[in-house]
Amino acid sequence: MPILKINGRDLSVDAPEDVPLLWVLRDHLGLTGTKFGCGIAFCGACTVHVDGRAVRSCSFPLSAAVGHAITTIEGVGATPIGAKLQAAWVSAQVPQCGYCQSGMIMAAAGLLNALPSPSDEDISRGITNICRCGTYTRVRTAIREAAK
Amino acid sequence: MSAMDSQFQLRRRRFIGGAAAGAFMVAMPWPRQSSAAEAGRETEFATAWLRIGADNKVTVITPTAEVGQGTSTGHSQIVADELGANWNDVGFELAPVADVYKSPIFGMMVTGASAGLWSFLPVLRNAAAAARTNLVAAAAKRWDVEPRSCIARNGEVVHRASGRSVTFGAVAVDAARLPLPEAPILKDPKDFSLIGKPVHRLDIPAKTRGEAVYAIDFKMPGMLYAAVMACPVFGGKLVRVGDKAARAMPGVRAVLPIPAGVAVVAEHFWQAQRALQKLDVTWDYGPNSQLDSDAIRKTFRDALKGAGPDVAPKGDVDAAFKAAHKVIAATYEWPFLAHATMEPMSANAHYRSGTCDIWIGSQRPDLARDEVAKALGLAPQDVTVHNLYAGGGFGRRQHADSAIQAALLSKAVQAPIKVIWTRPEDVQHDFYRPAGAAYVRGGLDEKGALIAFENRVAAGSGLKAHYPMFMKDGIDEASMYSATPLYEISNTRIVYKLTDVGVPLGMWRSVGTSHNAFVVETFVDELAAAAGIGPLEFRRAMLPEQSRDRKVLDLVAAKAGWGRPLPKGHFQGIALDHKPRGSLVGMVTEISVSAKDELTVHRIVCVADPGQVVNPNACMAQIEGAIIWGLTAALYGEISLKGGRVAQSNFHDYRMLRLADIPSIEVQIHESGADHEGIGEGSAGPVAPSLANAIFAATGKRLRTLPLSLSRRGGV
Repeated sequence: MPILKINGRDLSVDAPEDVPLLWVLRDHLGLTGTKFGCGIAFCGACTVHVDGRAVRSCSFPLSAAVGHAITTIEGVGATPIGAKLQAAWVSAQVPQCGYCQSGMIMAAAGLLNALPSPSDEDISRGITNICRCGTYTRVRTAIREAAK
Repeated sequence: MSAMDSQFQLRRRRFIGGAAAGAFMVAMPWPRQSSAAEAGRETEFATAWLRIGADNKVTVITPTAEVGQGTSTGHSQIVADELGANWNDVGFELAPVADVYKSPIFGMMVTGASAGLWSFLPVLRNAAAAARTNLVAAAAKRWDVEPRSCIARNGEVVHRASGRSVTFGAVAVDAARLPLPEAPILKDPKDFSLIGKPVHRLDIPAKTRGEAVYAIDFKMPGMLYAAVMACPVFGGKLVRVGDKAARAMPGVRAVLPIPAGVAVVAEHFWQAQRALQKLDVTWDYGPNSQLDSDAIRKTFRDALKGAGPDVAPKGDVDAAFKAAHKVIAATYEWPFLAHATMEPMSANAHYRSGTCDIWIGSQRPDLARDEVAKALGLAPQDVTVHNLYAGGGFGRRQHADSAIQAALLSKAVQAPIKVIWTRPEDVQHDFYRPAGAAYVRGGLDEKGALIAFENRVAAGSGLKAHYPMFMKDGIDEASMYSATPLYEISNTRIVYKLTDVGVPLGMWRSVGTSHNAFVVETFVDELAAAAGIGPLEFRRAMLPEQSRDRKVLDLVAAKAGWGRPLPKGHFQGIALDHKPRGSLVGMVTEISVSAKDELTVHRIVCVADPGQVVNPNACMAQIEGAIIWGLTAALYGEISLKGGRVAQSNFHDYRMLRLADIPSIEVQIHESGADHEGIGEGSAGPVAPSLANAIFAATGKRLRTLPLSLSRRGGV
């Protein structure tokens, strides 16, 4: 059985290798903070980190995740960047329905992992997740706040 | 308090973390506390609207769905303020289905029309004031003092003279023994400490940690997953299914028919979804298999020629047109739109020997109960709906389709079922914003004043399909919101032509204003140009000096710097709209257009007058969100039909704005002191016309079809 390292814990998963990581996290491991939005890596609701890099887990097979450190929204708060982002998300009152926000925060954490002080242009280029409630302006504010 | 309320006034009961039934716990309420800590808490005082525990925790029962609009916090602020609670002790729970929670204005449990906050405000204040009265009375009795010598504040009752105090929790049992006053004395609004304050939303911390539970996340022991496929043509049905290959796939438990479609039930969703693709399905496409956008467009254009009821007759329109110095006319068109909530449709059902529990994020939990009961052949009281957070609603979750599917499948396989729609299923089986067309005509006198106005609107009706009780003399008022200009015009004719084309329709955030404000406010700009008068001056001249409308128009013009020099190549467009009790909104949109016709939206300036505000921060968030909702539709929004099927399937072809596309959005809330109005939709309507008007200013091109495109003529 494949062993996955998720949020610092080793978890064995009884699932075929081609199952997208999203469904392994949600259905097999009960980590439902990571969301299903489009299934074609377009909206980013399913964003998680693989070795600190943001990936869209709906289109990322289990086989590619084995042997790498996976971080989900349930674990990102244990990282300094994740904790800062979650606090900034509260202070900027970002979420509305909240459904896309796990992915949004994971994408932002991925961005800050790569670029600790992103420019506005970097934020525009780096955050391509879709939010239907229209929280974008506050997402930008919160990322700037967390990057301070 | 009504008789129903006293039924809810339980003396003591176990608080088990919400409306949990059977073995399942809804881990939904108390965003500030884990559900495990909550379980077993003693409730000392309970009415339909609030509960107070021995530990002083106040739980507000909110009758409105939490689809992102934040009414759960707004309702909590209202109750906490009127009660005198300590805000740190306040949490909320979404209401179960019961008559007491019906909307005071709609007579059903419905989240829509931006009415959740204002329509329940008096009810919640009254309920909290009644509870406060009893808490104070109980404490006063304990101290043997006059109740009026005591006050409730910060979760305590205080005897002013002696300084003695007691917590709500400590007197809650005694308070619960007293009869609830029917007409309790309300707080003086000048003493409000929470209403009107930008307190943080209660649901946000959980939503930043991935802990908020949506229907798609809800867990039931032993649950199976279902993937569904409805007939791709509206109104078609399933003839037969070749399911041998699908049944042989790992984890697959069943292949079953559902209304107008087929489902695969499996141990995991991925298995169900994969197996669904292996089905060999034969459909009877029915009468709509030839539907396409070009034909639909022609149907609307033809319908504009026919007669229809005048929804706002005023003056003598024909005579005014005859007398007019100048008459101009134009035809406008708009497409169907999908809601595309970020959480695709999903629902959980557990059928057990003649009863059924449903866990869903619903804007019509009462309808979900009734329709599930009907589908299962049960009585409504045998079905229990547990409302969860919804990953966006926008009107889409007023329908019970996914709940019915889950219920039927649960009964068929005798196991708890979670139904999840794929994104293509969600985009292609929506209840769409009605497409339509309008013919508008205006007559100007010699001085350029608008003396005659006619607007003929042809569109389908979501109201007729789902809320026939609200149709008035064959008129869908929601479809006609903003079709009548808010200006003073002596002679108007506003004709409604209900035109059904066989596409399922529903309520879509901002409803009729989403197209009518575009038509009316863009055409008013056309009239201003024909009159040779500036867009702002032309509008101002038609608004009474002391009116809210004129004030908002002036404020937005000033805030945007209307008429002042702009950066090179920048142009502005203006619009004003007032969705009934949905906030008066003025907007200026600033754009530039490159030599290659590439449009850039730089800035949207918005002034909204919602009367009074409960939570300025949440209010601002709704206004910002509705602007982006309107801008997405204005630039990208189009659902088209070919061969009776929706041509779009996912976000690659039903596009959404992303962060990089968002202009600078500057919002000012102007509290005029009028009654509270909703703020969830009002700022969506003026986006398209202010944008179209800016495009005209920049290019001289008048775009009359949504979505706005400089390079092509859009279809319906």
